[in-house]
Amino acid sequence: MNTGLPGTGIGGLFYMISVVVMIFMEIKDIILRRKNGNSKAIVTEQSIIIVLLVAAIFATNIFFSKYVFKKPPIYLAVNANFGEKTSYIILNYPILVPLFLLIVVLFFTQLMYFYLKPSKK
Amino acid sequence: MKNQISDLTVIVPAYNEEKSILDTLESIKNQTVKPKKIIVVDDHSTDRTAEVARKAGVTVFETPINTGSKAGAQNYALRQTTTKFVMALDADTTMDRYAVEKLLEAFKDENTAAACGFVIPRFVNTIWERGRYIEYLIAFTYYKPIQEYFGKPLISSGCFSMYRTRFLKESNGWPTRTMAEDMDLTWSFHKKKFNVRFIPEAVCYPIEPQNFTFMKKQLIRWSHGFVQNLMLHWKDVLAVPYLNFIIAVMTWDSIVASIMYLFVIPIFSVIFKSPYLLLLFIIDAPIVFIPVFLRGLKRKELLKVVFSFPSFFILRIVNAIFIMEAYWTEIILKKRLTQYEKGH
Repeated sequence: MNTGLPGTGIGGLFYMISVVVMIFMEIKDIILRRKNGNSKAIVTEQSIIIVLLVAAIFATNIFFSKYVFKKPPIYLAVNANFGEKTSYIILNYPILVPLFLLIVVLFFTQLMYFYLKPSKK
Repeated sequence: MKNQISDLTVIVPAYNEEKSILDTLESIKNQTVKPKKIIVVDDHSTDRTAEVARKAGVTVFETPINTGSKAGAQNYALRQTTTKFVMALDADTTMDRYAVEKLLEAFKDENTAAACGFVIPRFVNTIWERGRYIEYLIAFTYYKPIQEYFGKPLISSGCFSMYRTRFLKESNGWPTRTMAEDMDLTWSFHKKKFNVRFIPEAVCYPIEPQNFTFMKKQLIRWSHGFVQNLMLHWKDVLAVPYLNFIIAVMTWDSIVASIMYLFVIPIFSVIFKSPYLLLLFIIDAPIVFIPVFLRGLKRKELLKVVFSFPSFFILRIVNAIFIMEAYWTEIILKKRLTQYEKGH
């Protein structure tokens, strides 16, 4: 299976949230003085990646609103025609839409697990 | 662990690989930690694969008839494998000389069933190889290390993985029931609560499809393999924490995003005369570029990354077409792909 499939953004967001969880787990291990092998290196590298990813998302947002649509995002959300509203969707797509979809997908997955669990016994 | 002999057998399944197998065997022999045995399984080739392998001084098994798949060829040798560890290496794949040493370290934990490494295309020239190069950089720089942290690498790559022989034999070897035996085996190991590890320091270099004809064969196999594994494992993997989420997210994206890419975005941009919608095809370019750029910087391959980057988006559209075809054929038409065709 290749990772070059198109995405709706939930994949990238899932892994970004995973890195945030990793950071909290590392902090917990440091506080509890637990040895955790070389996981610190993975967490550090992935943290750098997601900081840069978030910066890239903001930079994309600013670029499109300032130079492509030439309107602030809030204007496009409220006082705009349909064509302009699609611009708003594009601007905010990287975060809002994937976040909503991710919550739905993960919730549905857990639901499926609880639903099927009794029948496996 | 320099210049040691490990309790390891390397199995190299091969079908018409006379041109590439010598490089593969040389890379095995150049390892800092050498295997006890190298077995080439010539799966009824029509070229001189067996002869080339014998001249290289390795054990060659020739199957009486073609086994029909790479897994079949590997299982042919597994029956006679008695070493503690066994490695499967594609006949078109070479390894970094520390690869075996690095993978063996993962097996200090007695619960480790499989370990895989970083995959980089050996040649990066054509549009297809370049697209695949970027795909691997993203996967092995961003996704896989995170999966490794949570103990759930999604796939122990079939082209280059090491296994604890006992666990592999208890699982009846490499499964032949799907087109993606590596995915099937990895998910089965996770279900049994064995460790599967990703070791990024162990690097291999497979030959990727150079033209569309061969890329198409590989993508058909991979896409159908994913759908087949989904249908086979979905109920059981729901109970595997984190892996369930990875697969759910992948499934969602593979269906919804592919439909959006192939139909919704183009059609809506025409209907609503909004060319801005077409930007959705590449709006994630800066985001995709980050892990790729960082890995390219580390590998001192920035120019290669920059020139290869646009190919990723072309290959992405092609991937979407084939995954949709796989869902349609396997689930809607209920026509199962059983013919294994290698990518080159």
